[in-house]
Amino acid sequence: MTCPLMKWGRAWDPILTCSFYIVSGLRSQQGALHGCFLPMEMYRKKLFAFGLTCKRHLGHDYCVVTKKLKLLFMGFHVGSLIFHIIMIVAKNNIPRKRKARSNTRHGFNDPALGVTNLEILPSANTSSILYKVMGVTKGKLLERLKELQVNFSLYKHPVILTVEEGDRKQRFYLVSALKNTKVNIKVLSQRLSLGKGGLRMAPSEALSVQVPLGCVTPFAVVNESARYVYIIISPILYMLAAINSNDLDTFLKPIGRDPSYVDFEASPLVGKDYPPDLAALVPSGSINLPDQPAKQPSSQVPTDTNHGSGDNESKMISVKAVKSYVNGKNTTVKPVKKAQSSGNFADVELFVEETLHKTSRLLIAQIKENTTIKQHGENLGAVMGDNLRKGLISDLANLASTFKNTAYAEGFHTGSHYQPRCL
Amino acid sequence: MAASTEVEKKNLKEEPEQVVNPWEVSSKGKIDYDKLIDRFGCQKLDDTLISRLERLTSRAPHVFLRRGVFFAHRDFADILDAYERGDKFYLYTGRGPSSEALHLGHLIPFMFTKYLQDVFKVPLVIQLTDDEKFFWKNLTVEECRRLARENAKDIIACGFDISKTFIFSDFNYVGGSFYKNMCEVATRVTYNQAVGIFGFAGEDHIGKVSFPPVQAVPSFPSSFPHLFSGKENLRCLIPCAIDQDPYFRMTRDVAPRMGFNKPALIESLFFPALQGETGKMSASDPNSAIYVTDSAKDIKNKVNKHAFSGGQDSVEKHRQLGANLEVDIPIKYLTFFLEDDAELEHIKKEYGEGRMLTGEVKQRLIQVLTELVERHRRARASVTEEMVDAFMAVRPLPHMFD
Repeated sequence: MTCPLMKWGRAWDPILTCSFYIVSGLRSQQGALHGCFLPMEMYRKKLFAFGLTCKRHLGHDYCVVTKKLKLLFMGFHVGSLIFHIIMIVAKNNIPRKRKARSNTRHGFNDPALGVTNLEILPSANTSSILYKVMGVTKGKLLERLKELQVNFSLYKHPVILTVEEGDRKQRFYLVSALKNTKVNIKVLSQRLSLGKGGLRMAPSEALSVQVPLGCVTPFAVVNESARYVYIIISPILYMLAAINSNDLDTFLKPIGRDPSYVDFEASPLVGKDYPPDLAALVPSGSINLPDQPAKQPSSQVPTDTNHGSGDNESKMISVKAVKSYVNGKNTTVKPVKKAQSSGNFADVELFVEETLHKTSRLLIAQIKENTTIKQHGENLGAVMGDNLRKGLISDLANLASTFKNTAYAEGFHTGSHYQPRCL
Repeated sequence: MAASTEVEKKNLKEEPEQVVNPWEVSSKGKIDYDKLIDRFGCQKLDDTLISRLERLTSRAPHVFLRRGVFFAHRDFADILDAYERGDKFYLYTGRGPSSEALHLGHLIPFMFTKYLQDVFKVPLVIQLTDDEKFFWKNLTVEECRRLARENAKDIIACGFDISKTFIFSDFNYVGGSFYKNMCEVATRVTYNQAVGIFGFAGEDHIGKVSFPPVQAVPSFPSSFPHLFSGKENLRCLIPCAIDQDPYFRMTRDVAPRMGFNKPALIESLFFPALQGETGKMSASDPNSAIYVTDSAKDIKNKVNKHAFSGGQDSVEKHRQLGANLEVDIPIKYLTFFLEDDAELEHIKKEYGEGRMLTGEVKQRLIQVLTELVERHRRARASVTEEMVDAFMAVRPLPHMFD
């Protein structure tokens, strides 16, 4: 005679199994819990089989033991099923910062070159959410862009980005890239001179850009909370996007965010001969607060404003940040902040100062060395002159040759840009 | 000279105890430079020539000449004769930009060339053979060009006069009259000759085989029409290291057949590696050389830890026997870089007789090297992209003989 519970157990079996797989499927985005149910399921099945054999061998008496175990398992399964359902419901309702992933797609079409209208399928991550949740509303953002007379096309494009945590000093890098661009974190970390493991995906708690992940665009850094985020952008993205990279720079520079354009596909050698090419993006020392920008002088920007939706014709703006654009020849990134030269080597005053400084230093050193009239008598002057000469000749020759070369180079550069006036 | 290639072949049949060619320098023991001179067929640079140089230029000869670093030449006496008569010449040197990090050994020909430029007041062309590195090393074209530009900055930092110097990279400049001369040279060198001189094998690609004319042709003034048009008879003097001799042997062979003057050469020793006399410095081993980017601390470390010393094992033994100056690297380096002859003699004497210890010699060397590297670094800091562009621009040099 078969135990009724066992019959019951068998009937439950397919239902339970299916439900677990459905639940796991629903949670597969997280991928975490799916794994632990399979072993449980298998264990349960094994136990069930054991029970069967027990029954066969030992008869009805052991049905009690397996019965209790079965109840236990069923209770466990049902309980977890309910738990999962609750979690899923809760997840969809409570707005939470979700960890964004790179390279997922929500209907982003790769346009052919020249076509600038990107057809986007509506999805949950449209920019309407972006603008709603951002500290700056959509209206204000557009106003600001108009202020800067930046050319842009207004359309919704969900761009999936990653925000990666920097080194222990907690720097954040906002990396924007196209879907198909493979951003190799290890390589990027090496290139930023953070070593092979210096870069990790930011945990959602650390994020402070005030937008739901999955739609963190460079515009999000308008928010104050995103002060310490460094922006790294793949130029291809903005070649295809409606906002010209120069325009983006115009927008970002006033708020102190100098973006750097990096070719992610490149994996340059990093070694003794090849220092990390993006090391310039990792400032040593503490995070420096960018000054609150003064109103961006509109002299930097051309006057035509074209808000057409399909029009990508913006004039080239001579913004300093253009220097950072990656050119086809090499994949190194020049530091965006133009390095302040330590002084013009063709400056006459500096040259004279340096010469006099060196001479007087040597003279003082000689006097200190007890070179007295007693020692050399009348020849003191000649001797000191000789020593000065020996000590100074190569240094001064170098100084002078640097001066000459710099002046020549400046003249040459100016001459090559000289345009004679036609009368 | 066809004769020299036959001599070359005969020597190759002997045991190759030392290998010296543009791509490899190695030997079982010390490099025997006298044998090299015999094998290559050049002449030793003796004291009479040096004193003649001193008279002509009314300046003390350069450290390298006094110490025998530049020890061999071909037709240098003819150059001096022509200079006395009033016929000028121009200098030609070059670098193969295979790495960004330059070490002191690389700078030696440039330092000497700067001296020659200052003393004779003649123009200079510097060739950056980025295509050679592309052919021989596993690098991309972009990388070679980038390295050439970076190396150009270090070369400029040696202090060349911009109004008398033209730097060019092969990828940028080859074409026009330069290419015409390359073709003329190429037709006059048979494949077998090239194999004999450079040792090409069947599996070497044709890029390698076609490269030698590129290095040969800057010795002819007609390759630089923007500089030397109208001066077809201008002679050329090439300061280089002795392993580059094969290229110019070939050039000297071809030049009379093309109606040009044979280039003169002045050749230097190899700069020994820190670890000893077993070859030249290698860019792949960072501890075998002092790089121009090394900090003072690095130099101190490298010299103290890795410089091969000829001193004895213990202080007592050292005071008794003295040091072995033949293999001692700090002494060799001081021979290259210490300006003061008297001081060097003093150090050699004291060290050789055991009164001075290795540590003191190394200390002095560190001082000298640090000063050198520091000066170079300062000069390098003053080199801007504009300056590099100006040096590399195809422009006339109206004051090149002033």
